[in-house]
Amino acid sequence: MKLLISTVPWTDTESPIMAPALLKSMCVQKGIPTVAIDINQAVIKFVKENFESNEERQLQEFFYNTSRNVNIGNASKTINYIVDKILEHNATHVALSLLTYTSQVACEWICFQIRRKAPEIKIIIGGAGVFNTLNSKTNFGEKLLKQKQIDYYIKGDGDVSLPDLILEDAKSIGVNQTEWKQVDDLNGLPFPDYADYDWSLYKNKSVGVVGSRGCVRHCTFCDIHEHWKKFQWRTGEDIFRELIWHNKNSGIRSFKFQDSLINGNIIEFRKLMKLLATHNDTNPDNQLNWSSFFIFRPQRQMSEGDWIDISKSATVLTVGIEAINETVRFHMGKKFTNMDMHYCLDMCKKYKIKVHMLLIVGYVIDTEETNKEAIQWFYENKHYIDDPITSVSFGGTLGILPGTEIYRRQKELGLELKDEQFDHVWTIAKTNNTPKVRLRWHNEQTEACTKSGFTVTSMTDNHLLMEKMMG
Amino acid sequence: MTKINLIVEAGECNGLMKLDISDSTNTILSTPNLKSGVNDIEVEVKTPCVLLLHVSGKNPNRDTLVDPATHKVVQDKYLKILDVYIDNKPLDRNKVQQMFVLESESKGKINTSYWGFNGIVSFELLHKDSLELHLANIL
Repeated sequence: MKLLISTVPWTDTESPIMAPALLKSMCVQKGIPTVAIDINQAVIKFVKENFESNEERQLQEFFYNTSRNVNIGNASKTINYIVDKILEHNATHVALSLLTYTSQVACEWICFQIRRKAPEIKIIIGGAGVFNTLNSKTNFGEKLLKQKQIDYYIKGDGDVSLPDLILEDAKSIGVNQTEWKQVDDLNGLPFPDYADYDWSLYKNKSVGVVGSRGCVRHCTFCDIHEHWKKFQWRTGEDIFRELIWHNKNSGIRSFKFQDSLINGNIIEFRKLMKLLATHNDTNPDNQLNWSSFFIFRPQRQMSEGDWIDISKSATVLTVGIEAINETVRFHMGKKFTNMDMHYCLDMCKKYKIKVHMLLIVGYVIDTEETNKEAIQWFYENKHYIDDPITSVSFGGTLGILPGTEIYRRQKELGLELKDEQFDHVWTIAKTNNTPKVRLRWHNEQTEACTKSGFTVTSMTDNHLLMEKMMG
Repeated sequence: MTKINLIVEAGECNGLMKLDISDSTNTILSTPNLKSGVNDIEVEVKTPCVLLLHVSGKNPNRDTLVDPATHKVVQDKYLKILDVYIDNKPLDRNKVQQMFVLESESKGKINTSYWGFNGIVSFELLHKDSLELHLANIL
């Protein structure tokens, strides 16, 4: 028996994806010979080296969204490269981890080719990407299972389900069904094992760490609670032990938290920051640093002393501000005022902590007025340019996901949905909140942001989405 | 070799239609023993190639029963493609319905997956590799 765990393209990242390393450590602990690789990064390199830039873009679009504008030979060559890389490990079981829906196209054809070339291999797929889909009306795992292209799909915590499945080869909760059970306690689990990763592939050699699962907030547009019913966290001490373990074993000093929010549990977060601050003060030649999603909190919850501790190890905080207008932000479920936001930005500026700002354009209660306010904000807050706000990212316009608060409240909000799955073309007639209007708001805010001097970053899948909406 | 499975529904009216599958050199690959209802017909072919599906045995004057009161067909002798699998994976069902052109003996070319006339249906498999055949189907 030998298990190979791999990521699946396409995820735009310069860092290693953590899931295979984490799952490997759980499987090895249970005595399963396991190799964990990050094929996503290897493919990004392969495509860069083997195709012209326009072909590279076409391939990326194909893997994101089955774009028709791709050369079949190029797509086939890339899929075969991936499959050959997987098969060279002579595994009896292959587990494919889909980070998001953008892994589905590659996954479908990787499974097909593995079935053809090595039909004896058991194929397992898992990860959020099996369920979170942009176009598909059906459960992707169920589709491939019916087509006999896979043997199993796993929902939820693969930490437990995957090794159990490999050892017992039997169905358990979370396997080939949408019901699953969260891991009871995140503390004391084995640390991710990155030993098989090819570190030469990464520009950003940071290691992924999970400090918590789930979220303390209940943002109206987010469906995280559909996946993680309860918020679970590790103690500051347990996380710190892991960071030191990676540092001692591989010399890694940069860490990327995969949490929804690193500071969801403020008490444990504070403990971790103090441990890191002490470590960095006493080890000036071996300082550890991290980046993470982060939530802004009022001053009464995060004092200047907290910010000083944070500044000892934080590099970039990715903050879901989501709306410049305070009323809109509170409607979303973000519990910080404009005063809180400016307090946090001022603290970040004072203590040299970089902020990557996330914004959603076209929320359900947005209006022409709130759009104007957002545009104005960029011109009035140029003093935050690069310090601390190094980049601003507009996540397309708001898409309505099933399982979210706004989806449940669609009647009350006057929402007319056009697509039950992940609707970007919804309308609220009474406030003239239409796809066309939201696209204009998006363009106006992006333009204002750029013109005022902020750096705007964007993701390819958002571009594709916007193109679709315009089409 | 590429494995092709044609999932074909056969309608019965004074017996069933006959189906012979050949390649473009007229080498017979399969003459399936059709039964009334759903049939899974498997052939192995070297691609690229064109499969020719020879449909016969229909007497239009006898093998279609029409209700004189409503002029609706109540029973028919026909073949209908439901699905096509290439190396065990189905092609997009919506596209399959549009992939077949029947060169009928009596009505000329008809773009249909429902074959109620005698004739020859061409099924083009233009790529060597079955992955590429699938990709061509979705793109």
